[in-house]
Amino acid sequence: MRELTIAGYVVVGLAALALAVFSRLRPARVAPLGKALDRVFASRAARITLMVFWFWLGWHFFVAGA
Amino acid sequence: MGTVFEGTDTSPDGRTHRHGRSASKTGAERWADAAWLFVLVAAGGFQVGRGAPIEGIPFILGAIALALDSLGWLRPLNRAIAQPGAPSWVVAAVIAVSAVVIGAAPEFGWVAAVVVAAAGVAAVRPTWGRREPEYLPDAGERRGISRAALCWAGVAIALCLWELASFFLGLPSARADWEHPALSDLVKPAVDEPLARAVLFAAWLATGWAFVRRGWGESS
Repeated sequence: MRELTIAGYVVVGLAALALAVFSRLRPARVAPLGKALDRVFASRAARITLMVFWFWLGWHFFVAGA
Repeated sequence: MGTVFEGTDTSPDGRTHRHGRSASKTGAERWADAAWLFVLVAAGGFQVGRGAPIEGIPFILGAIALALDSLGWLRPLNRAIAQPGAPSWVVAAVIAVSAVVIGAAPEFGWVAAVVVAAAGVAAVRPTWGRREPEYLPDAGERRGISRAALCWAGVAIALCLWELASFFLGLPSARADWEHPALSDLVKPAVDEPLARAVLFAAWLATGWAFVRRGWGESS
């Protein structure tokens, strides 16, 4: 069961990798991540939310002890 | 209120920019803001519910800031600022020194708390304020960006659902917890190693720097 759970994380990671590669190869079809982030980060609400998640990741792994 | 723009112009490269500030938002922008607010409240509530109220604080503070902003109560803070800029060697040096400090310092100690908190505080101003004008992609670009946003949101939601399922399935016993590890449990052994911890911290800090540099338009 542990292997299945880990496999789920791996699948999500591979999907992200595939998406990143595809958007590089076909930018007209799916915009590269940087361009999408530029658009998303133009919104203050999105900026705050994503930056809070970024900060929490740092706190979670390096301060709180996961 | 958030940055909503009153007019547009076209630069020599043919790209459209919005400029000027307005107190009003479109319906779609209000729904999007509400969705981000919901994400913050849900994440904060989950942290408190799982017994980690300290980790819920950033989400709750972010949600409060968004709510007050939507009511227009934080308007005095709406000073547009310039895009953060520093020579790349300075950024690289700061990241490298911070990473060495985190790698050398005791794990989960006060040094790590100070460094992470300092990074968070430094990110507040460029996250809140923005200099105009904002770059508006044309219709073709917008379609590609919408597809990308949907796809990345799908990946993020899939990860969150898998993590949530693992969390709840692992609650009943230590055995169940071992069979359904959270992503944090899988990454933690790497964080325990000083060298890997330093590398991971550098990656985290570099991601934060990349984030505060996004969405400024002209440099995109």
